[in-house]
Amino acid sequence: MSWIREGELNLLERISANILKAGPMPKHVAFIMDGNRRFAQKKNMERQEGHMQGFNKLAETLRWCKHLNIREVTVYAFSIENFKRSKDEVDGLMELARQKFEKLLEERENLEKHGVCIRVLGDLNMLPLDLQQLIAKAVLGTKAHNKCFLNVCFAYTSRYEITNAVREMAWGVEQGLIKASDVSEPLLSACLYSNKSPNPDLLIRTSGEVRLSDFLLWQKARELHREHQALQQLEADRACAAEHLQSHGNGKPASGQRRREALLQYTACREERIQDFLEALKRKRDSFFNDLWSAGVSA
Amino acid sequence: MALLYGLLWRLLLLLVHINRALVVWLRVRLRGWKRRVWERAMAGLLLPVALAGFPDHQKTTNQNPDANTSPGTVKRLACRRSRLLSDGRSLEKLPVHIGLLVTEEEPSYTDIANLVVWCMAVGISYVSVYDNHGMFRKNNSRLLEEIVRQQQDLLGGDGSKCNVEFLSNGADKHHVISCRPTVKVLSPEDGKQSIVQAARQLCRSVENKEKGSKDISVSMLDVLLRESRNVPDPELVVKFGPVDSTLGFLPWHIRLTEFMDLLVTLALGQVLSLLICAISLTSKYLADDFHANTPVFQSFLNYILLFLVYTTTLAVRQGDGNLLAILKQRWWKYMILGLIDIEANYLVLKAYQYTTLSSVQVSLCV
Repeated sequence: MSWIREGELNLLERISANILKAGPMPKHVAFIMDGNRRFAQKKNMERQEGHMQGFNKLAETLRWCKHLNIREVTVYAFSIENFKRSKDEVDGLMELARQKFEKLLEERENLEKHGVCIRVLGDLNMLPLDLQQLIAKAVLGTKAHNKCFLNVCFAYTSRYEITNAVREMAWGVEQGLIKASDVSEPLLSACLYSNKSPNPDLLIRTSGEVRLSDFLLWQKARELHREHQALQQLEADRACAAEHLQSHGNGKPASGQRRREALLQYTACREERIQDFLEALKRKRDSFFNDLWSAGVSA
Repeated sequence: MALLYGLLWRLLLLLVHINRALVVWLRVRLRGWKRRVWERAMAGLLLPVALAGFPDHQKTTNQNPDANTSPGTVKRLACRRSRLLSDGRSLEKLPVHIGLLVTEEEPSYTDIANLVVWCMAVGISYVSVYDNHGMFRKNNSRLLEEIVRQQQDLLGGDGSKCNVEFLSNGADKHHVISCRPTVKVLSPEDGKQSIVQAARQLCRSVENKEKGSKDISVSMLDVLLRESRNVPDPELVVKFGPVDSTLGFLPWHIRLTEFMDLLVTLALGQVLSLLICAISLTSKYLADDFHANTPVFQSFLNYILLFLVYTTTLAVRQGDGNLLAILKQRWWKYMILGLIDIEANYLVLKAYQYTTLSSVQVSLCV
């Protein structure tokens, strides 16, 4: 079964879609695909079959999202916690993922036609190497598309994502790209796996459970108002600039003019530092995928 | 065409609201489909019972100012406390840490204080109160006073049993927890900001070459975020208010938390009563002023709405609860009930033509 189902909606679906589009629509919807095993048990199927059906439903859902003009979709496919399941099940899921990503690579023209950009978020190092290479191929192949975005969370937990962002910032500090005082809420958001996507407007969990299960915890939390953020940043900059002046001054209290100059200079330096750091981070992540891809090609 | 779709969208939104109101009201009244839902509703029901019970007691204690000393009151309070404890034991599962998420614009301090005291009396060890404007934190003395007052009134002056702790980021304000239970008041600064501060701390230690960036792990961050709050993660968060969002409530800690929407249930019962009242009034006006003699037509629209909502809901459901399955099993019951219902509605609406509003209402209630 392919990822993007072709075909227009039937009359009833089209009318419903038009009615829904008359009201406010979310720009980014996140799905937690839960309950596959329970579904399989209810229908007396194999668990593997349950996961397959879950994937088919996902393809149908993506078709609806495309028709409803929802440009960004994030799905929670596999959690780091799921590695604790039985080896058979985990192997089965990896095999399913392999098949699906291979199918994805076969449909390259289709994806290009629809302009779908696939991103895979998570700790990919935990997956088997051949799957990593397939993923790298899929991600690099669809990187340039920009009509709609599909983020697949594979080997992902939100806590791990936040920790990874902190680790990247610490790497930046180690490399001397940024200082510890530059760490702020927007910088952490920019270091997450999902930094290219806006925060999700709607989170849907199938199976009726009401838990978040470690999915997009940071992104779903309401952020401080922009003004408040800007104010906080200004305060921090002012403190640092004052400290800088004091240490480099000659003991005399600085005039208001000098303080203002120092503040502006410090803010400009900081922003430049952060830009450089984010560029370096982007290069690091791209090179990870490129290495995988070239390893896959040469193998 | 776009206008038509817009109108249909508004109609659909109205139907969704009505459907939600009816379904929630029925779920509470009819005592449940599945056991799990019933258990949850029971937990939900106990809260309104507690809330409803307290104001009466407050009135009696206000009347006699030295009620605390009288043995009758002490006995009543002891009874109430033991009843609350047994209520807690009767629930299958009691959370160790419960969160109260208030999304209303103007929260009522008395209600929140009541809830907090009830939670503690039932046996929940940690209660966190959060609102997204930080109002509880700003007025924490007022909240503390309310809680202590409610505790005095409702549980009989066991002030030493409660320990209200206010979360703050500085370690110097950390109160020693001498006994359970504990109340924590949270504000948006305790959410993402505390994560950012922990990140800054870790980066600083990397800057000072105390750690390497590769040493940073989930457990390290977890420990830092728990340092000043050695409490378990909230297992249940009860949400009050119209907003369908966590609004920044402790993002790191809510990874496995279940969310429950509660006060909507209480308000909807009132809305329904209001609607029934409006029906009676309009029927009376129609009968008197317009001399409209159409009892069946008035209830016809009602039935159309019910049909649209319930039949569509049941029709899309798969499996045992499907429309066809239900019809096959119990069609004759629904026929009889339907006939009785239509006749009853007809007679009630006909009655408005012959007598006053109040006598109809009285006979309805009887």
